[in-house]
Amino acid sequence: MSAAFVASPLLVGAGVLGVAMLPAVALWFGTRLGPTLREAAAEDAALARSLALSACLAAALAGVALALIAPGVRALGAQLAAAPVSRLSTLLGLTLVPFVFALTFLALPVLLFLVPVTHSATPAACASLGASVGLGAAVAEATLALARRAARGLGVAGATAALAALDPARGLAEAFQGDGAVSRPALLAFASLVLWFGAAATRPAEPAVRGSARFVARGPFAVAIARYGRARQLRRQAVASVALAGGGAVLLRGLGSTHEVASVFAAATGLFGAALVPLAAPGLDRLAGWVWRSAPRSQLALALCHAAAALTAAAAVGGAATLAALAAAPIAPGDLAPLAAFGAVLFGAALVAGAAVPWHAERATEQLASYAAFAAVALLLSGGLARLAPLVGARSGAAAATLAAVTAFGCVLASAAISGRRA
Amino acid sequence: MVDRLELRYGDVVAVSQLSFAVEPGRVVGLLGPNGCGKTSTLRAVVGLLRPVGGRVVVNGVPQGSIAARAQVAYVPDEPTGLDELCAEELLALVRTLYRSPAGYDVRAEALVHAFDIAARSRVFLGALSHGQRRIVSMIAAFALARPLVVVDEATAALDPEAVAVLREVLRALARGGGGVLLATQELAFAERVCDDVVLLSAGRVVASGTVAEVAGEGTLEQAFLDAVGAGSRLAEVRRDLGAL
Repeated sequence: MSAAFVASPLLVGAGVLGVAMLPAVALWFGTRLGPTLREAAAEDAALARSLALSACLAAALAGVALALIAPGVRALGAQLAAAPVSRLSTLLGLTLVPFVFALTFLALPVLLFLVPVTHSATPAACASLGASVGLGAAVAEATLALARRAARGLGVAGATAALAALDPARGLAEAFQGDGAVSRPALLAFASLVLWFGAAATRPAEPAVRGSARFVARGPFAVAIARYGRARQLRRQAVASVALAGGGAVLLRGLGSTHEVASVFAAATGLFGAALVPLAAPGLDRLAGWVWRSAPRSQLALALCHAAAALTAAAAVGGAATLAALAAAPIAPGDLAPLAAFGAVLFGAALVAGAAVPWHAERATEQLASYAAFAAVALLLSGGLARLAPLVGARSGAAAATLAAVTAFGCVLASAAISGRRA
Repeated sequence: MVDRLELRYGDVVAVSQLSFAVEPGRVVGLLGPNGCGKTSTLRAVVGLLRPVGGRVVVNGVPQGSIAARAQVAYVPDEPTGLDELCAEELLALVRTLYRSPAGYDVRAEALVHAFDIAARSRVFLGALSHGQRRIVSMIAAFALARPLVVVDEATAALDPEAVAVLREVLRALARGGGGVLLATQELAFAERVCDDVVLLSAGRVVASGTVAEVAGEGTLEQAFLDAVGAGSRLAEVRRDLGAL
């Protein structure tokens, strides 16, 4: 973090300030939007349902991220892993405690937003979101187990699907409408978190790196694509994004959403997942800094090349996720066109955040800092674009697409400048 | 040429007033205890670390520019961050980054044969042993045939056969007119491969010259221990080990 601050004090400072202000901002938004949201949700059950579903999907995504970045036994390293420490202590100290700590950190602004909206039904709303976080984390554990060819992944996936079928979003939708029945969502939250912890406790060990290249990548661009595509965490995230988009669309359809809502929400979730590629790419490049920085090439040109490769890889993952969502809930592809602009800005924000606060596969704190920077940059960009678009007549259509493309290009230049300067 | 080089990490002085030269056709060894500034010096020579004082000039070009980096080939202690590439891809990447120098492929092939890793050329670097990963990065650097080759921890993780091959390769590079600057903890290796040595202790030069000059009547190891003041400490260590 200190290195990131030295490299980009303004951006990192703004990010830290943004994170520090998050509780106050959440409370302000909750107080401002609370009466309107409550009134609208009371009148329109379908709206309450859609709001609850999108919030629960976001919570599930947070659960996936938290489960994947919990340090776990690998944080001990080769030497300490051989120390006489019980498996239970390791699990409690390196998996449960960091997960709960991060969840508490995230829960504070959410709670401050919810209280003015849901009043006495806040505990039920929180329990609903907690259940979604737990289910998301369990999905991550099931995916990990299946990716490592462990049959127990099937059991975890089955149990997760059974709990998801009990509809954790229902409690939140009812809370939006003023119903504070907490027992059902609380039970669901408890069951999903226990399921996640059980799955995390029996997570199969990561297999050693093996294998050989089926094709030989040549040149910095192709090599960058190959590195990102072969990096385990990114590959895992890409698979999870496509699965979440397809599965999310199926789930939303099953829960009664329209094809449009299911497709758009699921594809947007997939794009969020794909944004990990440009977020992580600058950090991965930095690990191999010795080869770029000792080469007789302009560091800015190399950083631009890597940024282009990261965007290409992210677009491929995002495209696959969108196709999966479309396959599960078919709508006219043109209806998803605005998502392309959304994706471009999202990926651009991820690139800038990843360059300013590099992501590190083995360091949970740096990953959290990177995610926080991503949230800060994405919020700043979306806020700025929301104000700029009406001024330049780019609220929709080709003008909006051009504005998004220009923003994404600006982000590429900014990230290359940050990475090049750091080199 | 390294002239009055000064390197710092914050308030910590890594290297101070360090001067030496690597002439074409010579192999120069940087020797010294752990943390004495060897790797920092090599990183400054390659351009990865910016000096706070003094200067590094490579083939007449001050370090810090693309032209200077084009004169140097670098082998790090650990080729990090490229575990997802196979040897063939790393060689191709380095060739492209250095603008496809003439004869690169021929030299790379000869080195792959010399180090006997042809059978592993498609295996991901992350799946190779530490020593094999280092050999791949050595091949990529040596095949560039730059005026200066910089090798950090030359023999680390290499098996005896690879060390013998490395010795031959470094001597061949020097015979070809290139300069070699290496850091190593293997004094026997340094004695056999280096023309000149620079002994560092706490970031300062404590002895330098040809191997014969520095070793004097004794061995390089004895000269090393005397120069860094470790000779008398060994007696204390032997006494203290009685507690084990």
